[in-house]
Amino acid sequence: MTILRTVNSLCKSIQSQPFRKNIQKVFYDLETTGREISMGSIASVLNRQFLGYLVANQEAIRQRRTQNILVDIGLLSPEELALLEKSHKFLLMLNERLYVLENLLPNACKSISPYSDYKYDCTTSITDDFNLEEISSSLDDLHPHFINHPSINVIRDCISRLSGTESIEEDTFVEHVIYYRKKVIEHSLSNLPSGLEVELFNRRDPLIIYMGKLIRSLIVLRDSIHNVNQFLYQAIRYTKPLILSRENVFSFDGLNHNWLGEIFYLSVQPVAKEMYSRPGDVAIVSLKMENSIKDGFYRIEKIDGTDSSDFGLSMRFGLRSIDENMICYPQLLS
Amino acid sequence: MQKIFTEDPNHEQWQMLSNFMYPANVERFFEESGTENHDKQLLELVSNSILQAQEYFYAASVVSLNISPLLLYYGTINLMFSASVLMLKRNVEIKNHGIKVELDGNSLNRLADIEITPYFSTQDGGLFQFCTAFCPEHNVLHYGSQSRWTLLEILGSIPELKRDFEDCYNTQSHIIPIQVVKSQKDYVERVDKSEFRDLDIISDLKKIVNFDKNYFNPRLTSDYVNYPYVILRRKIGGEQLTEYSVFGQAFLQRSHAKQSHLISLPNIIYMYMGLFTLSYLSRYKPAIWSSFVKSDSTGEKRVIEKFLKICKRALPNFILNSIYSVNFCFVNEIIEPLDLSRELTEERVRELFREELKKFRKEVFNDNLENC
Repeated sequence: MTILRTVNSLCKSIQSQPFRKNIQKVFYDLETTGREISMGSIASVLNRQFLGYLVANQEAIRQRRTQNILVDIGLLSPEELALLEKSHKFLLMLNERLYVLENLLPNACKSISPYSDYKYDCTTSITDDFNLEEISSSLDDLHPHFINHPSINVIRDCISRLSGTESIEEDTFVEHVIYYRKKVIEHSLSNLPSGLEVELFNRRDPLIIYMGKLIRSLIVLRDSIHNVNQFLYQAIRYTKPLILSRENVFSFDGLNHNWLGEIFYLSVQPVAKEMYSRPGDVAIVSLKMENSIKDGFYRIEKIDGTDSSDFGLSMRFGLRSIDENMICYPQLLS
Repeated sequence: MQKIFTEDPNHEQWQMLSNFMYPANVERFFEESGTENHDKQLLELVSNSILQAQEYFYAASVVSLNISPLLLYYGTINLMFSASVLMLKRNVEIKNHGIKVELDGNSLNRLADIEITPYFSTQDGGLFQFCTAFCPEHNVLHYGSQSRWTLLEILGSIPELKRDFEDCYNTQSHIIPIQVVKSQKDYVERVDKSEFRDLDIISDLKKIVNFDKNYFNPRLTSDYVNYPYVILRRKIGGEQLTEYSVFGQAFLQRSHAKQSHLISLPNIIYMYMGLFTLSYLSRYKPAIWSSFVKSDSTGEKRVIEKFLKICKRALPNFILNSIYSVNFCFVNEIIEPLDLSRELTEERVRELFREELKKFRKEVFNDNLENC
């Protein structure tokens, strides 16, 4: 069993959880407010699953309090807030099982939490409607996979090479990983800027070589956990996963290579679910086209939509493959 | 599609076919397509058939409607036979028409109600052999036999006849004209909404054989008031179901339900079936035919005349397309040089942008840098 398969079976267990219907109702209500800019669009930019909504709501409260409302995205009702907080806590709790750095970099565990760059205190606790027992066995399967995650060997090697130097201050490391991850994502669709190349891929100074490698590996590990969260989030939020198949794809628009690997482009005639997809979501490609794009799981990196009177409505998805270890950026480990 | 410039398409297409009026050329055609067929008798048969076809077609154009369908049908058999031999690269045994007209003795209000029945039991009929050569992938060979067709269905399946057909019979033709819209990045096919009259668009399009398999559900344009079109998009890897008339009009064909199966045939087969029906009337039922020719009061004669005219023009063209596996389009356009002066290429856009940028920098910064 790989991480991907284990997470997939975890998603299946989650799909039978009774709380999903209530959460889905919350999302439906949030998507249909009629506001020009919805809370969902802000949350989508933050790309932190349930936490995105909570942070957006927190900011909306702050703006109201200071009477400095930039955009009115509305507020969550107490019931909605409680449900989203519970769901976020649920993911947090699962995540804690995946922070496998205790023996390597105990203080840097936080750096691989996909939620560490946003401060939010959940006041609601998880209640009985979250049936955790049922999914705990899948979760037990997941933990050893993360201990053997490809990035862990690289991290271990870097730490041993850097030991004895004063370069590893774990607390500042958290900030480094967050900072560079943002940079990586910022340039994930373009070329690698020379400044970032010098900092992350330095080949001259042995100390910086291993520092760069360590940061890159932590970004990869963190990204894998982010992908696990996204899979679970979508399993809770949506009735069915987004499948790009012969039922909605009308053309394969080629692929782009850049420093982080390949991005495939598919053009789609949206039926329903595609319309609600956002960059960061996971999609399943099932086209059975051996020579162009492999079937499997992909992260949506980019969405362009056009609606012209000549061609009608169409969407173009830029997709990055997610491998068996839930890694999107394997090049960072090289 | 290969455009061929000509002021007289009819003459030009026969000129191209005349190549096969010489046995040596037929032999060379076989050799070039990888088959060495030196059966002199067969080579003679092909070349003579084409020669006769041309004469029948010519004769049909100078006689009246009384016998022109008959001559045209004879010419068509000759053409289709020789094309079948060239395509299948073997002799084709034809002992009968493979189709019969069903006249049950009741008086006919209109010719369109005449019924015909293909029969494939002996497999040596013209229709069976021609279907084998021109549409082997169509299921007519399995389900078309013993199913009755009306002349109305056949005439309604001829794309070039659509407008006259609908005017005369006040019923919808089986042809859905398509407008192909292309850009550098996109391609769709669209249909004017009025084409569907009051019909449910989705269920109407499902009458097209394999539509669901190859196309998504149709969509209306968002600016429906100004652009009343139904947009059809092909699925990835989807087969193109659009066909082209001899005049280059793209169209989709509503199928015919026969023995619980949807059947669509190539134009050439519909023409063969239609010509057979009319030639049968002309040859064996002169009372019906003469009365129709002399005193039709319904306007149906106009449709029949147009049908014959289309057959005369289109059949040799279809034969050429089938033999060479190319869509030949005979056009009467003046051949002009390739004029790119009005075309805005990417390079030209860059050049314009550089010029504008230079002007801007000069105005704003008084900057005369050449390399911007």
